Parts: sequence; C-alpha cells; structure tokens
Amino acid sequence: MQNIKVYNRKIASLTILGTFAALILSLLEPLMGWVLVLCACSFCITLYKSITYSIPLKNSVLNLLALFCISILIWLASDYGLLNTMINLLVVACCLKILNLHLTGDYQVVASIQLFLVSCGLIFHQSLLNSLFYAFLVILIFCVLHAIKIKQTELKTYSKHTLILILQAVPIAALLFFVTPKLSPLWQMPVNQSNKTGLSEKMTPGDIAHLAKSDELVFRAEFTGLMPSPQQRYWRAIVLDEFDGKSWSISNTNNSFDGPQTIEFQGPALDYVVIAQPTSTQWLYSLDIPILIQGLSMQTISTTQQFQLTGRTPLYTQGLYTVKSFIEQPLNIYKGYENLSQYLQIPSSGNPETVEFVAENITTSMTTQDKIDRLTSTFSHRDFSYTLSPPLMQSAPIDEFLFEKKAGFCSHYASALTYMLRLANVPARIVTGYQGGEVQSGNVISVHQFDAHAWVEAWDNDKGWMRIDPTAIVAPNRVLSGLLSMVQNRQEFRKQSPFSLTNLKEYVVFNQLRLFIANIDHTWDQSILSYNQERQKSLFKKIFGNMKAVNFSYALIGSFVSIGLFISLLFIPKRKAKESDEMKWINKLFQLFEKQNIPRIENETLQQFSQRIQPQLKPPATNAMAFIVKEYYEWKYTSLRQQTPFKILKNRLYKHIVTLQSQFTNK
Amino acid sequence: MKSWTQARVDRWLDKRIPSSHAYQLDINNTFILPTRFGWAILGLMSCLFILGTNYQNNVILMFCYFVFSLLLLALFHSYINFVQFHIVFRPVANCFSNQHAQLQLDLSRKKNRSALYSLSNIAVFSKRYPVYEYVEDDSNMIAISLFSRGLHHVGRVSIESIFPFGLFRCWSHLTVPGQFLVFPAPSPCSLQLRKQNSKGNTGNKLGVAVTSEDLQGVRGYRDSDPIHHVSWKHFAKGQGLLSKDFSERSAISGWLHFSDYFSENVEQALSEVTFQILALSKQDANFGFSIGKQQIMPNTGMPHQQRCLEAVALYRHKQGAHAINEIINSGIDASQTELT
Repeated sequence: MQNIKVYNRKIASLTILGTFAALILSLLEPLMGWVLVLCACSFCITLYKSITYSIPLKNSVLNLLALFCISILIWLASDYGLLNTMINLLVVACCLKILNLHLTGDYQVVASIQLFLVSCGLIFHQSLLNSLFYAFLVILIFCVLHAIKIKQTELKTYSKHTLILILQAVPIAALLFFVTPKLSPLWQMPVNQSNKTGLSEKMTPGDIAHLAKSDELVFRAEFTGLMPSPQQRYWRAIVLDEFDGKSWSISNTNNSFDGPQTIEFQGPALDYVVIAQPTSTQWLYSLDIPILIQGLSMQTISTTQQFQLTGRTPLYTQGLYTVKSFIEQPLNIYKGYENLSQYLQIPSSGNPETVEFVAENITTSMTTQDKIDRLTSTFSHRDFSYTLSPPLMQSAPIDEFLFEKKAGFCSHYASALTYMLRLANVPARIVTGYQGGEVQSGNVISVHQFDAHAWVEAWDNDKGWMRIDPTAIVAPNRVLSGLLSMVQNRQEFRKQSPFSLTNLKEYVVFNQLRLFIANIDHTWDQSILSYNQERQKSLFKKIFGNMKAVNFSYALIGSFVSIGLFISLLFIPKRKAKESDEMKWINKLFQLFEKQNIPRIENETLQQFSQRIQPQLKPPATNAMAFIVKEYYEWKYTSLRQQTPFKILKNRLYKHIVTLQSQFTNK
Repeated sequence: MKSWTQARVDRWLDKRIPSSHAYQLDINNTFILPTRFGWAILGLMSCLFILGTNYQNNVILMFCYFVFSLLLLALFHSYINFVQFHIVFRPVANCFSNQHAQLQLDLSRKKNRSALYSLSNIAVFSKRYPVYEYVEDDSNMIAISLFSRGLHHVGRVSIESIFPFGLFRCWSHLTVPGQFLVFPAPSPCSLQLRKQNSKGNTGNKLGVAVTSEDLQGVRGYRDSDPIHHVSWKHFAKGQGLLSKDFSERSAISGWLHFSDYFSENVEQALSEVTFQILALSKQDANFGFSIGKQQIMPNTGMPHQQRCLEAVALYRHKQGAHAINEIINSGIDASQTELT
C-alpha cells in the first residue's frame, strides 16, 4: 500500500490522544492495573511522538507486545469475566495501535476501537451527563477522521464542518430510535461482575455504614396520585433471617408456600413507577405491600411471600417497573401459612450478656407487644447514639454494642433488637432497604445509597409482621428527614465524600441547581433510558389511535419517507446563487431587446452589445442607450458604487428605459 | 498478460465511460462503495445493535442509529461532493525515457457547491502506475512514471474521493485520450557527422564537429553549455557562472547516421543519437538524419528536431512508422491500440 498522506497530522494525533485519555479515565473500573500502566506509557510516548515527528516503530515489536498482552489477558480471563476481558483487550489494542499513528489506516483503526470503547462505556454508565460526555468524544473522533482526509486547514473550520455533518445525522437517528421496533434481548450477554456498592445479601452490623458515604442514585420513584409520608417511606429490598452470631444472611429454607386463594387488600394504594439503576443484587425496591403492575422489559420480576420484588439476575442496566403498594395493609395476609420457626433461629452460643439481659427482663407470660415494648425501651433508656462511623465490635458484637460502645448505625440497632426478640421467643427478622428519599418536583422521590437502612420486623399473632425501627427511637430525625438532616452526620458525610454535590444542600442556589440537574436527569431516565416495547406501543397508540399492524407499518413507511424528505432537503442542488439586483436589471434590459429580435451574443458585455446594435436603433433610443451604458459603467467601476446603492441608479435610469421601450412600441 | 475477466471489465468500462478529453463526473461514470473503514463501521454498527438490544441499553441503540444515519448521509455527501468535479485532460507531452511522463489535468468545480465541500480532496491514482496524488483546483501536473522508448498512451487513470470521514469511496476510471512519444534518454558521446550529401550513406565521415571558435562575448550560463565554455575568470571575480559565447552557429552541417552509432546495445546507440540530435539542434546545425530505412532531409529548428526524435523513438518499434500518422491525427481513440 502506498503511504497516503495524512493531513492536519499534529492536531489529529493530539485529538485522538485526548479522546483516548478521556475514554480510559471513564472506564477505570473494569480495567486491570497493568493495562492502566500500559495506557499511561503509550499516552506519554504518543504525546511525545505527536509533538516531535518521529519515525514509525517496528511492527514486529508491536506484534510481539500484542501477543504477550493477549496471553496475559487470556490467563486472567476467568477471574475478570468475559465482558471485562473484552474491554481490557480493546484498550490494549488501542494502546498499541496509537503508538504508531502514521498512515490514515492507523487513525481509522484507532478511531474504530475508540468508538467501540465508547459503546462499552455506555454499558456501564448511561446517565445524561455520561451520554453527553461520550457524545462529545464521538464528535471529536469524527473530527479526527474528517481532518486527516481534507486539505490542510484550521481547527476551527474543520470542526465546524464536522459538526454540521454530524448534526445532520441527529434528527434521522432520533426518528429511527423512536420508530424502529424494539426487540427483546437476542441472547444472554456476559454480565459485568460488578463491585458496585449497594445492599448485600449478607449483613454484618456496620456494613450499611459504608453505603452512607455514597451519594450514588439507587432508584427514582415517580408517583401518580398519593405520595407516602416520610415515615412511610420504607423501601423494602432484602429480608435477612439467619443469624450466626455476627452477621445476618438469607436462610436456605424454602420460603415459598401456598398462600390464600384470594387476598383482599385494605386501605389506599400508591401507584408509582420505579426506575432502578443497575444493582449488585437481584432484589428490587418497593413499599409494602407491593403488587407488580408491569415488570421489566428484560426479565420477569416475581413477588415473594416476604413482600419483596425480585428479578432473576441483578439489573445490569437501568430498569423500569410499575408497582401498586397497599401501604396500610397489615402484613398478615399469609397468616397461618407461614412457617414462623425459622424466624426464631439463634446461634447456640455467643453474646452471653445479651442472653442474660433478655432472660432478666422478659417473662414468658408477657404478650408479644409487651415484649417488644420492653426491649425497644432499652434503646430509649440508655444513652445510645447514632453514628456513621461506628467503632469496631468483633468478638461478641451484640454484647459489645449493647453494653459497652452504645454507638452504632441502623444495622447495629436492627441486629441487636432482632436478636433480643428472638431470644424472647418473638419471631423476628431484619429487613434491609432504603428509608426516605428526596422529593423532587412534587411527585418524584430519589433514593440514594446514603438512604440505605435496616429495620426489624416482628411477628404478632394479631397484626402480622410489625415494622419496628429501633433507629427511629435513637435518632428520630433519621427517619423523618433523612440522614443528612443531622449536622453531625453531615460533617461525617462531607469528610468521606468531599466532592459530592449533596454537600451544597445548605446553600439555596446550589441546592436548586442540584435539584434542577436531578430533574433533567430524571426526564432523561424516563424518556430515553426506559423507552421500551410497551412505551413504544403506547406512543404509537397516542399518535395513531389503536395499535394495528397496519398502523405500525404506516408509521414505519412514514418515517422512512420523512427521512428521505430530510435527505433530499439537504442535497437538492441549491438554486444558482441569488442574483444581485444589478444582474437582474441587466438581464431585464437584454430581455427587452430580445423581444425585439435583437438577441445578445453570449458573454457580451453591455458596452459591446450597445455598440453592435447601435445601427438598428433610432436616434432617441441610441441616446438613451448610450446614457444608460455610460451611467452604469460609471457606477460600476468607480467609487460611486460604495456610495450610492444600485436602487438609486436604477431609478435614475428608469426614464431612459421607458424611452427605449416606447421606441419599440412605436415601431 | 491480462486475465479474461480484466479484459471483460475493460471492455465494459470502455463502453460505459467512453474516452474523452473532458469529463463531468456524474451518475454515469461514478462508482461508490464503502471503503474498508466504511465496512468496519458497518460492522461496528451491527455490533452496537446487538449490544444495545441484548443489554436493553437505549443509549447504545441510539448510538447505533446515529452511526447508521451518519453512514447514510456520508453516502450522499460523498456522491454529491464527487459529481461537482469537472476534469479536462490535456495531451500528454512527449518526454525522454529518463523523465517521468507528466499527466496534465485541469480540475474545476461547480460554482454553487456547498461550503462543506470546499476542503474535500480528490486524488488521481492508477493500477498501472505507482501514483497516488491529490489534485488541486485548476491545472495539475502529475508525474505518472518512467516509460520505455516508444509510443505510449496513458490509458485509464482513476479519480477517487473518500470525503467525508473516509467512509465511502467515490471513484471513476477515466481514459486519458491521445498518445505520446517517449524518446531515449540522451547519452553523451562524441559526434560523428557525414558531409552533407544528397545520398546520405555515401558521405564521408567527419571527425569532430567543425567549430570556428570566434569568441563573441559572455552570456549567462545555461545547463546545456559545456563546462569548458565557462568563463572561470568571471566566476573567480564573483560574477557567477558565465559562458563564453562562440559564434559557432550554422557552422555545422552534415548527416547524422544511426548506423555510425550502431552497436550491440541498440538502446544505448539510440540514446547517443538522441544526444547528438539535441546537441546539433541546440547549435542550430543544419543536419539530416538517417535511421534504418528512414531519411529526414537536412533542416534546422524545433520541428526538425521533433521529427528526428520521433524517428528515434519509433525505431524498430512494434507499431512501426505508420504510428506517426496516428500521432498526427491524435483525435482517434487511443484506447484501441493496446501497448504493453
């Protein structure tokens, strides 16, 4: 192959290097350490090379290096999962290829890899901000592709041209997005083995505290109609019922049993749509008692008899589901069907002080409610405190918490209370999930990781499962207005995540700005990310009335026609450049003679023409013509042109043209 | 040797795009297909679709549709940009075999084209010659390649543009009309002239050229001046290179016979004769030239030189002397004569 010249080389290589760096930074999470080192090396080398034009590297060296890297990747593939390995492979390929940016082909290969990396990045992050960021990178990549093949020019010119070319594609893309039929997943893709923060299926007291330091969004719920009050916002996710003395986990016992044939729900229902961010567990969020109205598009959600919603796998992408919650319905609908003995399980040994304490305070004759009251009052009588950074409690965590440290996070309280209740022969379990959330624009509640919470459910034979939140006794504000309502917590939070926007909550302007951004983000989630088959159908229904196959095909044909129209609009040859007044006037003058069978010879100037036709004219017409020619040339080729607009000249010459015309009519 | 398919393609092309001096690129002579990179991006697009569908990721799907519409638009932009060009081939000038033949072409564009296309590049390349040159607006001289002595025609050259983004390649195969002669590269040697005689082959051999070295003065140095004519005195004084000007014009006359130079290496001999023809012409000598059966009567001036050189170029050439007639009527379609 010939070495085909690369234009605008320096700026192109620097731009592609910039997009490379930005992509790597956005993909830090799935990248292996050594790949990052490789990236840094190749970045430095390429930066040096693109500034000082140096000779190409030998391909054999690069190939050897590539072989070496690929073998390492294959070696480590089983630990990292398929998806991560693929991404690492792409990054390595990009690293090596970028070292040798010499031919146009090199740029094109690097650009293709980078476009692929953009799509990988979009698997992980799809928020509006991220999408905009990646869109910007895509524009830059296409700028480079454009720049290397056009004439040497300024950055400003070709970036403008690229932008125009790209913007023309946007309306077509948008139309295609809304119209093209949405398909269900064709096959199962490798799921990111994520180390995402989030609730886990095993809870050791203190675990949730680390979530409190993250302001990552967990889900948003959009309500139609009633909103739950702050005390009602207990978003159930996971139920933990097995205790080994230190941590709580989900028991292996089969929790499915025959329920009653029909269940009648009492009280008002809340209707809401949950848009959940990708999770690390398959458990989804809902208020009690949830009835699933419409599930996710990519997998089925089932309702468990512990009143949870669960999918088959963790959500790897944003998911949207609609739920109806009967918030005042007591959790006793499975009364008589449930096997309560599993909720009395306690480890055979450990935490002796607690065992002793319960034995002292509880007698078998007490009612369940009495027992609960007695045990919860423990927290109100002694000076317990609520803290985001609880001290370590290792050997006998509950003993240490209850009788020594007396400071902890919600999980400590929930764990201690559940244990005590079980000791007192009251069936109890821990529920983890989220509590609270921030209300946005009236009907949307955003729930973040720092809203993570754990509470207790105890069984009462009359009322069913009762929610007891020991944290509410110690720190009532936590439940009423959220974690960050407490100054002390806020300071701790700030210490942990100094760059979070949530820190600016106190300043009104910033808070409004933050809420505004959150609103836009929500709209993006609602309209774009959650656009699925059902939404597409309902959109068509709105436009065409009903959803018949005919209408659907009309929609498709219509959209193709409009794309065609749009393209023809762009490409229909533009009419000749607008004629100036002056040219119009001259042409009219020539036409006047043409009507009298005195045609103009091609490319003849006005002067040549007038000289040629002079013999055919009568004296008054000759004079008029001579005057017109003189005036016109005087105007055109002297400084008069700047001073007087053509209109004035036209008016001046009008009289003479009339003279000419009259000559012809008199003939 | 051309394969059968190649021959068929050539015939089809000849019918499809007949040879002409001027070409307006349009739907009849333009081909368009994705480049290799374009295919790669199409592949990327399908991967994006699968990725987006399987992960139910709308942003990736949107990206996929964006790439699709960009490809669609690039197809149109590529074509519209390409057909704005108008190409005129000028006759290829005769040259020596140590010089690159120069393809002359004028490029103009439609006036009302969009400003977007103002930076687009268009390149000339050929399968037969190692050429890949970007063409500028207006006239261009493109060195094609070295040719051996004889009568040649450029044949088909291709014009391509991959604007924008290098996703699609618009190209056309245009035949450059007309033929051109390639003369042997001049090779210096001593002059052998025979006395002027109506019958060339009976003349006597003359040794070295007759030069009556009357010094007329000095003039600026030309590349063709012999080094011993340089006035070193002037050079030493720092007045640059000046040549002593001798009034040797019209001093030489005689017959140049190819047979005097003939040796085993015919091409070398032809080169030497070429050198002599040029040298004699430069000295304004009145000389005749005899090569093979052909005789050119003594004369002076550029047309005479051309005739002599043509005779050298076509000496023992496959096409023979009648090819000269073809040069004269060079309007005839050049593509018919197949030369290898």
